[in-house]
Amino acid sequence: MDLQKIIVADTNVNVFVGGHGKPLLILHDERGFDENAEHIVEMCKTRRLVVISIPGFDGSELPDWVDTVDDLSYICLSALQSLGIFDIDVLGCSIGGWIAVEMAVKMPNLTTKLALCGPLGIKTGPVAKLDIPDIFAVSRDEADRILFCNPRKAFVDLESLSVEKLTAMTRNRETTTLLGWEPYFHNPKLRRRLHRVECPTLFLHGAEDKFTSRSYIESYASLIPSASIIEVAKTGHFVHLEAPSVFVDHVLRFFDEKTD
Amino acid sequence: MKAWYFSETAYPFLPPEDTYKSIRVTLPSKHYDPRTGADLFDRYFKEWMVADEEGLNLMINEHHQTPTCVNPAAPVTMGAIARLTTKARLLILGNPIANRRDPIRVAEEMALLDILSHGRLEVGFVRGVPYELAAANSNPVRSNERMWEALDLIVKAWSEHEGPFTHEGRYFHHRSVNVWPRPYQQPHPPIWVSATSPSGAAKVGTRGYVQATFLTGRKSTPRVFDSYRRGWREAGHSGDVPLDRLAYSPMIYTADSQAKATQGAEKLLWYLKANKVPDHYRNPPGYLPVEANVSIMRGALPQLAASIKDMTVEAAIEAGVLFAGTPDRVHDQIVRFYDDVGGFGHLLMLGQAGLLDHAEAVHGIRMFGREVLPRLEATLRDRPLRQSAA
Repeated sequence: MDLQKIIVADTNVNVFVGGHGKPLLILHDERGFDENAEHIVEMCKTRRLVVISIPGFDGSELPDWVDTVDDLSYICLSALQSLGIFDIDVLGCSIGGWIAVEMAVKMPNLTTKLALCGPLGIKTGPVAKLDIPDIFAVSRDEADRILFCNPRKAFVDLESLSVEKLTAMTRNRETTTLLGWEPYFHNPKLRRRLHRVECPTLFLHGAEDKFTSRSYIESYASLIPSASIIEVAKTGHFVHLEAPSVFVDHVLRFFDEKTD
Repeated sequence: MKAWYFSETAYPFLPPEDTYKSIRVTLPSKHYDPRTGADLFDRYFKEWMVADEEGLNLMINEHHQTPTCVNPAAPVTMGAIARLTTKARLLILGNPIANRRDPIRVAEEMALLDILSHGRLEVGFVRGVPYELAAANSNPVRSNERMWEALDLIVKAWSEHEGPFTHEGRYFHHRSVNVWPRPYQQPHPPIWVSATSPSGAAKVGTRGYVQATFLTGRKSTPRVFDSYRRGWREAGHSGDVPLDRLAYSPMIYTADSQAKATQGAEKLLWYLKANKVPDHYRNPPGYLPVEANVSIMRGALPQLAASIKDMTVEAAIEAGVLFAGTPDRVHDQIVRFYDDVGGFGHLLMLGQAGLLDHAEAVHGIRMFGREVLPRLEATLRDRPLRQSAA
């Protein structure tokens, strides 16, 4: 993919562009962006992907004034404006899904269709229970069991990784913490704004996802006027990583469907 | 050399270690018996009063959601100490201001303590240990930035006396700051900061505050002090770093026989060995700099962590985290350490970590105060200053 460097809101933003077809904006999850990931390679065959490397993730600059997903959604909106994009299909996974929703409530006309895989961002459950399990209060292994259907998929051989890659992983965790520590992976106001999402919206839910549960996703979908849910068997939170071809099939079918 | 007696005010009556996952953050408070806890505080207060009688200054700290230090409100405890003692300088080290939502409240508490103690207070500020970010629900990321903004705001709140001022900062917002009472000491009590990273210590050096480092031992302490000196020089402070800007906190147990000293020292070491904390509380993302976490992922471990469980008294003395023995030996151990790290002006003696009974703790305090401290002062009085470590 080609790297475009743009400056918006005094921030250097990296945008990766590649593939052929109708444009599709991708907002990656908190594990960062990998252009060689199977679902990305597959989608490049039929769509022109526009991937904003989210500030603070991988090698992207994180301005010191940014500390919320709300801030990031403005940067991403400005990035699209800077690229001359005023309507586009959007796919967001996990924290990227949260950013996509924050963008959609701010500029409802921007998003043509919205596909969300395990999006974070809202709180609808009781005060005395976290909607999303506390990933910071468990070991890495336990976190992987929460996030993955097959935790072996999460295995990373640290010794095989370059300093650059280890640095990116560490930054990704740090930025995720900055954004999700408090309030815990949600914007208390966001649920009251979801009615502004006007476009058809698809939620992809891993059947074994213990991070964003089925009931959480159902609550989320119930607050968006035109939303549907597809559950993918034998996958956890990151459906795109555990079942990339099934993921791509569902996402592209949704985006390619004609709507009235 | 100023000596400070420091008690962790621990509650050591815990279930077997293999029955819980972490001594910090999550250990249920059902294991705390309030009557036993109240009796323990009676003892700890007596020990502070003994230390005061023996000419030692007093330091307390603050921790949360842990039996290793049951002092979640240091100003409350220090308020009582201020009225029970008469001579000692009183140090809180420290106020975990990166985790405090309202720095002005801290400024008020410390100003009031300074009044209650007739100007005996010294105020320490800390970023806070990583385990307590969960307890405070305080974001690990940018905690240094929050700490320094809070510190500067507190100093200003103590120093402005012409009516309200406003503060619209990055992390804290106040429209009408006008602290009553103003501190007894003018412009404000001496300020201490505990930092162990090179960049943190250098920043403390630029400000000229007292730099304290805890249990960093023979290997790491010189780096901390050298970083402070670098910051001091870079900020353009005149002359060499005065000794009274550098503080070191080891465990210390002095007894009239070697056997008793070893026994007491082993009880102090409990504090280190009992610190069972899983990695996700020990190192939450964003607490350490990215480069430090990359080093850890590549196999580097903090100096003490690897071998702490089976650390002997002798090994702890060699590492410089513990000084223990008869008065002669403790004196010699401290002087050797002093020379190895390039000198320091404050010795923060961790003399009660929880397992010592009252008689043992008092014996350790009296032996140090009577048999070690006067000799130490004499030995170090004319020690040539070194401005970099050996």
